[in-house]
Amino acid sequence: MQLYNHEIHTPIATKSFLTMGIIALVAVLGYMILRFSPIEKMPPLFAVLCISALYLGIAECILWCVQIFNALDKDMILLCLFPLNWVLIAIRTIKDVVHQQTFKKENVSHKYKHLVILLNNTSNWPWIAFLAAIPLLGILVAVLILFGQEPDSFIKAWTETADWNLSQKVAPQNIYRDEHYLCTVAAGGHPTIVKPMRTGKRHGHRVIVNRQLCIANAFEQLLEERTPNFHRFVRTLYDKTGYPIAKHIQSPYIADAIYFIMKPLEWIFLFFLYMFDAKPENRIAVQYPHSVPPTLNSAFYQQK
Amino acid sequence: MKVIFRKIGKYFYIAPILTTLILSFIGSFFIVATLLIISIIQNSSNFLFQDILPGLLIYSLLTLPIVLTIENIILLFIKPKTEEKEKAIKIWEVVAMSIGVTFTLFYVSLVNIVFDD
Repeated sequence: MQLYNHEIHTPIATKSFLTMGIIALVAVLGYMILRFSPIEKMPPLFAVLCISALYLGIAECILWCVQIFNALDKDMILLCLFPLNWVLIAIRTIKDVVHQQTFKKENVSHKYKHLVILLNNTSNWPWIAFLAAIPLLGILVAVLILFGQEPDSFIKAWTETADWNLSQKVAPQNIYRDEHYLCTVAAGGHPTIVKPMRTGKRHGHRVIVNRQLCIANAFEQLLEERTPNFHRFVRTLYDKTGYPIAKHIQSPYIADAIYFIMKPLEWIFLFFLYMFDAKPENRIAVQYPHSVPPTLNSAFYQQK
Repeated sequence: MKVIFRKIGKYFYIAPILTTLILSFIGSFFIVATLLIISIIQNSSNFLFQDILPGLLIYSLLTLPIVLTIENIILLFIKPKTEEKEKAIKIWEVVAMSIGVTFTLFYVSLVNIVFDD
């Protein structure tokens, strides 16, 4: 997706949202069961699976923190606080569960003696749950495949992103949407309506350029050349009035509307360009170049 | 100092959510007071008297997750001795998680993350 100005790409790939959401839900469910049901009445293997669910939640939280952590950005540090708290709560829950029940000798049977001893001793639960987390994740992934998720969604959720620590995709450079001028804003409308031609550079930023914007800029350039004092007056007036209106235009639908509203002005600008400029189309075409156009004395012409 | 911490601990088990809110308000009060003192010493208009109330509200929101994290770290090492205290902690945990989710969603909407591929 093309982003504008200071926007950042999503830290979790949106197509993996379902996987991440279900794992988070299972983790919360595991927490609720362990916290609010009496452990003594709970089957040991079920309790172990609940701890496994907590581990999956912890893994998700740690990955979130690794993905977004940036020591220089206080916003990202604040966004790490909730996952950190979840990890702490999960650790405390596991600790409480382990301390609640002790080894029961009377449950030891002969056939599965070792297994029963292992499961009845709650101090074994954390590491058994750690091993059980893998099959639990497998079951969740298998179910999620039925809902269109990929088997490796849990990993791709972090890697198929751009701009973050675990990202492996390279996103296109953000386009600068000038929030000062109406024609620049209008160029950000729907492509079928505003008809963008190419990108250009404005104040060092990449911007979308359409014919309306080029005509408006060419007209301003002509005005600056022929009537510098009048241009200064118009520019000051527009800087004062244009800015408060344009900065509120964020939706492409409003940009489309602005494009249509500016259409009569575009025709007036075009009329003046054809009236007072010998080569109006050349002037329109060279607006917002990516690099400074070569001058007659430059090396470009000397080589030719 | 020890008495103050003991009293905070006592009140925390009686009313954990209210104690957390009060602690975050105290935290924000210290931040606002510091900003005001700096502003007065430097004779600047960065933080004025009319900014105190909105400042307290905003910084309370910012200090709340930090206070919750500190409480969480402390509770990891202190085990509640009675069943009542344990119950209070459980309620506090659920409320803390709800606040965490709300805060994260609110903060994500403030930073410029676009949740779209």
